[in-house]
Amino acid sequence: MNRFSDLLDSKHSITFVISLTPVIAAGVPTVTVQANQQVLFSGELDHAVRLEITELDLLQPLAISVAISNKHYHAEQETAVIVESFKLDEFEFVPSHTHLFEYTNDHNNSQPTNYLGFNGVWSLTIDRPFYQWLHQVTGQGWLID
Amino acid sequence: MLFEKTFCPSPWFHMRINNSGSYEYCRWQAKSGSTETRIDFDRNIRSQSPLQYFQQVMSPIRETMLQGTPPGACSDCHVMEQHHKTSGRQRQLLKVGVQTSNFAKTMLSSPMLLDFKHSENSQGSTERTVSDWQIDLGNFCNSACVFCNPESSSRLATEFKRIGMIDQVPSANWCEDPKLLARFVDDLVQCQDIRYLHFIGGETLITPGFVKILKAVIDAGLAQNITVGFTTNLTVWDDHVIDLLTQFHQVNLGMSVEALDPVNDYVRWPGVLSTTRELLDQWVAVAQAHNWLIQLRITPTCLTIHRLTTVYDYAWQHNLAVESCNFLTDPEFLRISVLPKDQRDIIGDQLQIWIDQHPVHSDSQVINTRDPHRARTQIVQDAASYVHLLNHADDESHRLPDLVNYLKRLEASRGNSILNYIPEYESFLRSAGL
Repeated sequence: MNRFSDLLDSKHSITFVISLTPVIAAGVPTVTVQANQQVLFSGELDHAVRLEITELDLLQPLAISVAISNKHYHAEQETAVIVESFKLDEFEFVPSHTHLFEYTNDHNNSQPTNYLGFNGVWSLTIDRPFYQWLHQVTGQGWLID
Repeated sequence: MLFEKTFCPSPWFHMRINNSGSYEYCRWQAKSGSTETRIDFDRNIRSQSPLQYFQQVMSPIRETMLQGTPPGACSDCHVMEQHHKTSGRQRQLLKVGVQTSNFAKTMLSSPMLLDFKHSENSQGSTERTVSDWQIDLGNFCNSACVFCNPESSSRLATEFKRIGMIDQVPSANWCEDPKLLARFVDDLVQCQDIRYLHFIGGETLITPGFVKILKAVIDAGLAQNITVGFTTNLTVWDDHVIDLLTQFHQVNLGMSVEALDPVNDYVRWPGVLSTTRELLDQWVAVAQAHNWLIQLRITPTCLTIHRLTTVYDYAWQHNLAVESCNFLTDPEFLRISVLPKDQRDIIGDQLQIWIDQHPVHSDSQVINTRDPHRARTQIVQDAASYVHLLNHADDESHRLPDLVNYLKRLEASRGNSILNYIPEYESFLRSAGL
């Protein structure tokens, strides 16, 4: 790339990778993972998975979620999903940036976490181009527009 | 060079007015830039408005930037990057959301991409106005630092004329002319896009234009959206200015110091270390009370690089960033690379020991050098850039006789001696004619 026009001719997208590990002592959780409108996984999660999508639009808003249902609560045994890794391109959100996720669940527990122990939805919403958003949430200073 | 190694967005949102009232396209541009840009650097507030200069006269700069052939005057930034020092280019890129470590994607995501495209299709012109100003207030200064010049220090100008180093002192500063200052302020407050005003002198706090511009911006109702940056030489205190500054959105305070060691008095003549230290502590306290961003501003030369760790120690203790505009290039005989190789090795080793004794978590280069959360990482990164320079810069020890001649002339005027401050330099300075 030698000049600005070369840059405009190039095509770039965002890669999303998520790694999940289920906790199944009290039953297998039902899990749905979505990135924008695309479903990456839907069904019973009975073993660790690594899910990847490589063509997220560089400039479009993003909505990524992990939904858990069908958990039956037990006092001594657990069903859960652990988000081991959540990466957009090279940026890893776990564990340092879990406060950026919204966790809506049937126990109204909104503590930042990557341990999803309730029926509910753990989601990340980015309302502008990812790298503009990342600039601000990582404290990179001004963004002149 | 690759586009990502050369492109800078600064000409789309920044310009400078220098001490003579002439416009420059960048606060970091080298003084000895090549003529390849064909831009008229004599454009001046006396002859045209800043906006006309920015939108039209700077078009060739923007055009060449987009073509991947930046002006020769951008060379200082390229040298800084060679030595892993955060450059002005990298800082300006970050202000539009572009990171050199992930250039293509962040550039295509930049909120300024449409402005770049507009300029690409219109011979470099832009409809933007200046968001980021550097305002040089003139050379009115009570210090006569050895690395400074008459254009930036009235005291040094007077001394140089007295000892025959110049024939005449520079002409009056542009902002001493009430009409020019009023014209500038009028243009400034018309521009609703202003985000940052950075002032340098001379000494800002004793330059009347500084207060006049601050007041005008406050009176225009713009202060609450504007960040003010300025640098002071740690010889002056002014409560009135502090009151004015508190009315702005944010303040970036730079404090000039070369070493917390007596050699600072020699270099920042006629400084007094105890006063420097006292005012430094005072400014830090005020800045912390108002949540201002603070930096220690250094201009390392061959006379101070060996004591640079004293500044780093203070910065580390107070969690402050340390920054220089660039690697000093002028005057040539004060460059760090003028030191003999054995001396460079000793100083490089000392700096490396300091770095090793101050471990930091660093997974990426600190570009936002004002981020107080990464101040310590930034300090170590800055130190490492000087180690790299000491180890890799071309040998310029042939300039030692020029250094000695210069110091002898100054010392005859000032009645001091470098050997009282840096006795360890005696051998090679004597060899060069001291």
